[in-house]
Amino acid sequence: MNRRSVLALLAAVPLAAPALARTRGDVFATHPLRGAWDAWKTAHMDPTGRVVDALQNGVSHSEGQGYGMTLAERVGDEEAFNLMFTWTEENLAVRPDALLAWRWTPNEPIPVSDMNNASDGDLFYAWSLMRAATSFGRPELGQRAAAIVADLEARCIVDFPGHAGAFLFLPGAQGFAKQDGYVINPSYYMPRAMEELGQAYGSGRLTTAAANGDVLLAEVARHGPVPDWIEVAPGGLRRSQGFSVNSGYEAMRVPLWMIWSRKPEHPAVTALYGPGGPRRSEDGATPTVIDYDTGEVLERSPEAGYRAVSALSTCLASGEAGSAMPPFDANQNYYPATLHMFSFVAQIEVTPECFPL
Amino acid sequence: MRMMKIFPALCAVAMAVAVQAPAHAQEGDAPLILIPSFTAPAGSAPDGAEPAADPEFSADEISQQRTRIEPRAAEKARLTMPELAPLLSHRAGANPGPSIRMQGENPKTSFSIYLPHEAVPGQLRVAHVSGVDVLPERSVMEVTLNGEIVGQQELGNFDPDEATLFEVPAGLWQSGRNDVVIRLEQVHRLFCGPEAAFDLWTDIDLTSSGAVLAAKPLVPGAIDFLAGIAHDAGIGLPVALQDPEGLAPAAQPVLDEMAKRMTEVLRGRVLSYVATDPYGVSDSQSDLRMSRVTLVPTYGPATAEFRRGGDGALVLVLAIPPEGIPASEAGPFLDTVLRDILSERFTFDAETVQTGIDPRTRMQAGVPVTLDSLGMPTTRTTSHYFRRDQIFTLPRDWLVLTAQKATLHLDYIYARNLPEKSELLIRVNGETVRLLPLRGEGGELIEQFPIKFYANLLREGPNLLQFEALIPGDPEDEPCPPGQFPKLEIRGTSTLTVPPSPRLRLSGLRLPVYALRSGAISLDGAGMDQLPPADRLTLVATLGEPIPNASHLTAYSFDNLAALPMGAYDIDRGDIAGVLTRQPDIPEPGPAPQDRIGELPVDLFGPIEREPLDDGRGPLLRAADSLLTGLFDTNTNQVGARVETVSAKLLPDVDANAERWLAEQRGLAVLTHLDPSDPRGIELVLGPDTRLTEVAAAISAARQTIGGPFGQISVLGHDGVWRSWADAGRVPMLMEPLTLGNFRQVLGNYASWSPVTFTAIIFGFALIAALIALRLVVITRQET
Repeated sequence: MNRRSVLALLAAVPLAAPALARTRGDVFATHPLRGAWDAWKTAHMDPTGRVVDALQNGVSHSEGQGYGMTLAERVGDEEAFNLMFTWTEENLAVRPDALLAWRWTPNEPIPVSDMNNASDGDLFYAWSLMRAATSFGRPELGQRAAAIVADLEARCIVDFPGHAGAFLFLPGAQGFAKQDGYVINPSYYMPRAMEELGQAYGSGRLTTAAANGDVLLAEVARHGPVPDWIEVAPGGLRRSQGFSVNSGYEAMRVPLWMIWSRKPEHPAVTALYGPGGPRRSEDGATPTVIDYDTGEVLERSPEAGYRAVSALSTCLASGEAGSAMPPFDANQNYYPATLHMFSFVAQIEVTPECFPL
Repeated sequence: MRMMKIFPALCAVAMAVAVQAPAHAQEGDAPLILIPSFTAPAGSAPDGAEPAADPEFSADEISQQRTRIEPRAAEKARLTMPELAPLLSHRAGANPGPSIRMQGENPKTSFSIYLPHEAVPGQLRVAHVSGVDVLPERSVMEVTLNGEIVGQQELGNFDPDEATLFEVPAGLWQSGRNDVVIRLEQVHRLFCGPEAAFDLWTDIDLTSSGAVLAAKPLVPGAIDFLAGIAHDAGIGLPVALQDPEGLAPAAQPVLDEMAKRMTEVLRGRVLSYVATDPYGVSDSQSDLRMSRVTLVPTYGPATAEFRRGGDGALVLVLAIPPEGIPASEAGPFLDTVLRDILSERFTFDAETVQTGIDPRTRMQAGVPVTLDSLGMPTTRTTSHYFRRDQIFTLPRDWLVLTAQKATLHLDYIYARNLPEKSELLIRVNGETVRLLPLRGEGGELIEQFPIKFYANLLREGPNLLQFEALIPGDPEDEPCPPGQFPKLEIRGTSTLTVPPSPRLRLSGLRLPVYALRSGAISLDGAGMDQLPPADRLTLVATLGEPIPNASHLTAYSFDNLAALPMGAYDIDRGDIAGVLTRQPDIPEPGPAPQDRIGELPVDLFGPIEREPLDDGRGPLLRAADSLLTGLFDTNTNQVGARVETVSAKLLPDVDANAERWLAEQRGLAVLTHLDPSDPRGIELVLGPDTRLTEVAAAISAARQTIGGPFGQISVLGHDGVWRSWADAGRVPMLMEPLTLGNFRQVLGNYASWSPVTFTAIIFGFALIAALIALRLVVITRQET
């Protein structure tokens, strides 16, 4: 089946355009992901709007709140969006700046014991607010997003070592600066979110950091599995003491973000998921951790969400129409479940030809 | 090169970089990758202060905190063919149920198992449970696979969770269809004889029996797709149809043809279809499903390919162009796609699939027809209880209501010295027409023994001939001795002769139900094309594809009952509503419809009054007597009452009769044929929670029995049985010109149809003649 032969047709069909202008109620009622979203909410969001990562001892983090709100905005679920927003503002917006504390631990006297932020959580949180300001008709959310973007720019974007005019997007405001460089997490780069926020709120550094990250990650992907963490120094990229260079659960988001950012031919997709690529699924067991040095698969997982990421990426890398994305599994853990949802969203918005077979 | 085209800027950047170090095997502080030059400088200068190194933050601490923990893969996801390819019953019809009961001393049943190409099957698993009366040391199951006996197993297993594994010799399994025959020899623990044989049973659990496979993924291809379909059907799942773009109308010819062929290759097993959501949530059903049909759009010509879905199911992906596929091209298209499974080895008779009636059972009236040609070859039994049912199908315009005789000329032989009271019962449509003692002439072939029976027992369409032998044990109060011998043989050379009839029809549901196909069905005014595609496809698979002269079904949802036309009747629609809203009254589920082949509902042919055949007076005499009794009954003193009595006999209140009957019914749906001027039109009213496809499956199943809908109103009970009401006042319709040749038979039929009416008419004619004669006499006398 020729992908191009189906592409043009699919681009015009309802599945490709669920987010196009319709009434909010219509979007939520008829969104193709409504069933999966309801299952995700039931499994991973408590009634107060807290997104629970049960596997990590039931903690919540700014990433989960940002992810959940991004999904809620996409499917038009304003009620769930508000719950998560309120909970986040009450529990994670405890820093003196506009950024969020990265983790909230239940049953602790002080649930937020580390005031550091996680820039990907802030990024998705701000992105969801920016979009919700329009889709839910609430401009005040946009102001909150603008404040976050300003503080991200001030605290998490730094000069790229050795490259004047280029910028790095740090994983957090503190803890990632080294003597002669910085530790970055490639999966914190979500180019589309960075670009849209940068353009919406006039943050040239965020926009530039997104463009720089695109080129940087392409180079990284050409050399092998994209690592979870890597240190950026004036002389180049190198492994960082204490941070895993293996390509694991963090890095598996990189191709997904590239696809969602309308960069399906980015090397992070094509090199890792093309024929013989190290991250392609084999009969249900998706490679989840790959040794950076040897390319050996260290771990595999049966979780449907990881398979969805792999299937979507493989579809694009192979050029075939139709993907082997599995049905949403309501019993999977928070992280694969969320990646599963994002895979569906990315496929619907960006690559309609990779519909689940 | 594609990269060069798509990302020229990126490539330019990358090519400008001197990659000095390989990706792997870098250690220490040496750079892994050189940083490319960035061609997109920032538009604004940095604002905040650059973060300095953070010595107070331990890298290990941050890393540990932010490292995601995920459980290691404890088990692989199910993306392979399940470990069991289930036994598929050969019974035609939809969803015959999860188990099959094998009853009697020597039952035998055939099954199929469909295997994928590269699955490595090992053993054959049969999950079975027997009744407590089965004597273990003398009862045995013998299993044959593809013509070879693969093992025997002692019966008497009372634990439903146990199963027997039969080792299968290498090379015996084959990809695609495998034929399995299970034969049982069951002996009663305490007794011997026909009643003891009734108590012997073994249930085969179809969902837990089949080929034990080495788990391997399905390989895209037609054979593996068929194995997936068979697997899903075997465990009771409908075939999934995924059509997110709404392409089913354009794909209709291909889908219809595919549905037909799938049923054919599964030997008459009717498949149902269900719509599935590409972004759905997996559930207990979707987790088990092994096959799916997905429709996708294309600008190019229609194509088909087999792919594996993310859930492991083998997916037939049909790419459909906007203009659709012409019906004339659907067949050749699928010939190519399904070529691996359309060989003779796979296919089944298409007509049998569509109508549920084996065409061999069709017989011509007026000439002797051998049982062999009807599908009943010479049959021999060693059992103490034996029953053989044989359907024979008469022309649709055959009608004999007179006392003409049909004849079965029986060729049979039975063993010498059978116990006393050994007998062979011959039944026609449930009525015993002859009891033959199996004594006296044992060991000798009895040829063409004539068994005559009234032809008015028969109806157009399918009829049932049953042989039932009851041979007492010797002795009866002990288990049957070993070494059972052949006791009775009925030869296929026996002949059945049914008298011819003029082309006459009684209006009713039998003909339109038989001729119902998927084409002419509407629900609340919406045609087939407006039904959900999966429902539409289910109807095609269940009822067969459209044919010329098919009947047409107009269905009404319960809320739309007021729109039901009453035709020639004036029945209160509230009575029909009552049928559909009364609480079910079934103590336990009845047997599956397919199990009722030959099993006769009490009201098989409805309340059509049959005249007593043995009072020696004949129908006309009895009718005249009935009329005169009503008119001159001395117990009825009032003249008005006498007139009413006669009037009720001549002009019964049909509507009141129907309403009285409806008041006693309860069920899922009501099928009606109330307009005799439209012999192929039927109406259906669905209960509040009944689906059209559900009723279609019941109609399809009923067509394979003689107990399907007939008469003017038929109710589908909660137990799956159709119960019917027929208007006894229906007038036979002559479908050919009245000639001297057929005059006597036609008149006879009308006289037999309603002797009372016929007598009244004759009486009227006689009265008029008498009055005329009287008048002539008076006039003559006056003139003289």
